[in-house]
Amino acid sequence: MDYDYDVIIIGAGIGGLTAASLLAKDGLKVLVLERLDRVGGCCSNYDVNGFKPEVGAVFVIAHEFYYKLFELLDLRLEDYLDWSLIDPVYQIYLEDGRDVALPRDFDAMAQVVKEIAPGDLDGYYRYCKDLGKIHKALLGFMKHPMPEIRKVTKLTSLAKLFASKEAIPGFIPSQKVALSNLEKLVSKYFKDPTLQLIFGWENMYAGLPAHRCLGMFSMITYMGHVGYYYPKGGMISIPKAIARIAQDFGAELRLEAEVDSIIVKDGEAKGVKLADGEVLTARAVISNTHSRFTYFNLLRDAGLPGWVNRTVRRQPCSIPAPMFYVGLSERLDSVKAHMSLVAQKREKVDNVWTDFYDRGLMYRAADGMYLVIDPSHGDPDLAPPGKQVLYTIYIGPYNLKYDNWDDIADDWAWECIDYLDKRCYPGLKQRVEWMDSVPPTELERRLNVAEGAFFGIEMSLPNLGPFRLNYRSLLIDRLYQAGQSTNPGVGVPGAMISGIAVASLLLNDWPKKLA
Amino acid sequence: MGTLSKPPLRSTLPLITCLCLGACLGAAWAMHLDDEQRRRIKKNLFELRELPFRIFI
Repeated sequence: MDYDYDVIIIGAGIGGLTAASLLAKDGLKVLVLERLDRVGGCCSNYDVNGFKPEVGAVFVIAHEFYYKLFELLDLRLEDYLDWSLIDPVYQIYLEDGRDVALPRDFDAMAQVVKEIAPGDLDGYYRYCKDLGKIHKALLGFMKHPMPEIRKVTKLTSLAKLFASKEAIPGFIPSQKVALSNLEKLVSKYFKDPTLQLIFGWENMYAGLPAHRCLGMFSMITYMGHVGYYYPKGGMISIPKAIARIAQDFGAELRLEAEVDSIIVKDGEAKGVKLADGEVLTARAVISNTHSRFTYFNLLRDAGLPGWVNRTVRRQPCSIPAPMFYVGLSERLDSVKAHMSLVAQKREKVDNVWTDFYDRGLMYRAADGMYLVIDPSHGDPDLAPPGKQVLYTIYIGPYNLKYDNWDDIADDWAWECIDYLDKRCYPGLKQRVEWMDSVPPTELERRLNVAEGAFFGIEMSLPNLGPFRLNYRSLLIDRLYQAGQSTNPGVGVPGAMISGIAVASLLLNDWPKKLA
Repeated sequence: MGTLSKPPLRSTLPLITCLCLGACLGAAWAMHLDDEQRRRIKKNLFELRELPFRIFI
């Protein structure tokens, strides 16, 4: 049988593009299909009259992984991406009216801790020491050159890559972190509730209450002090750069090409059928979409047993983050950092999470916690001259008990704007020139992410490792899966790792099964 | 032809006692859980049941 392509990749998100660039570099004929008119999926931005807010991902964390990807591609990252350090990491607006800048520097941060709760300074140093050891152990791989792509998924290569002297002192603290949830872990280091909030709110990025969130998520806070970065041109610069590399290696990228279904015959993926009826065949198919979209939509005619859909449906999604974007007619000086957290008291935040998680209740604007991002803070080109664009993330359930998101989204956004205006950004409301509210239902329609949960499948213990989507499908031959629904999960580096792993597995399968 | 001998009551009695005691202790513990804890346990049991299926997806 003649195939149109060696590999067809559905979805030009980070995972799909990473796999495309690596496979194209190895000489395979690759086609990437994207439903939208832009690349990136959840790591993207869009343009409304010059306002360019982010769609999902807001900063670069663990930038070392990006360097390793470029090493695999035999390219220099600096030739493709220009990013700058985010400092202060966050501006936190506390319940009592104070606002505190959290500096990147560890010693300057110690000063902030001392001002808030002098008794917790020892805890802060213990925190830095323990998490610093884990960070060093994780970074052991930076010392070693990357193995060739086929060997990346071999256990021996991985062991060699991560084996370093620093891994030994990192072992005990990493067990402490791995075996604890975020709530317990943070309270081991800090007694003051304000500090517990400052060092323990990153469960928001997992879309999980702190008691169900892995202690490992405290590394996000720590890594903010190692360095978060923001690329010039916004987060979309990352997928754009990888897409350009993939195309330079010969991959084909088709935008606005919606896939209707994956063609499955005799238990093997044979290609895809596009929404316009065109059929494209390939030796292998990579689905870089949410697991629910893959199984409920793309594989709806594959004749899979009933338990498959049931299992996929029952795998919980993280709590969604209703968002709204505002374009301001002039800059607000009270927005002092790239990222700001408008916080509530620790107990209140915990209650909010529990109610969202278990009961489907939506709190009023004055009770919630907000992450406000100002992409134009570091890169003024992301808003028209003299203007500003803000992107606000809130936490709320997908299924509201008493309301419908589509009916209340705009009113809810204006209520939040009004609250933020009174609480910390005076003049915000009157400067709003353009507003777009994106509740979970709308995000689901825009990005095909189930339940509008852009943090993907829940990052709790029963949904990680072997219990997350497999890179190589065990149900359908020649079907591979990448993206946030697979391991390791949430975040741009997570999707990138999944793309590398899938490319490696596929290249290993090539001589035996696919050629 | 041999016949099946009845298990002596004396050897099964400790086992039955332990089971009953365990059930009583479990019930007493469950009675003291608040709504929040009950919800968490229910969710964890649900997740446990799903784990074997997730491996194959």
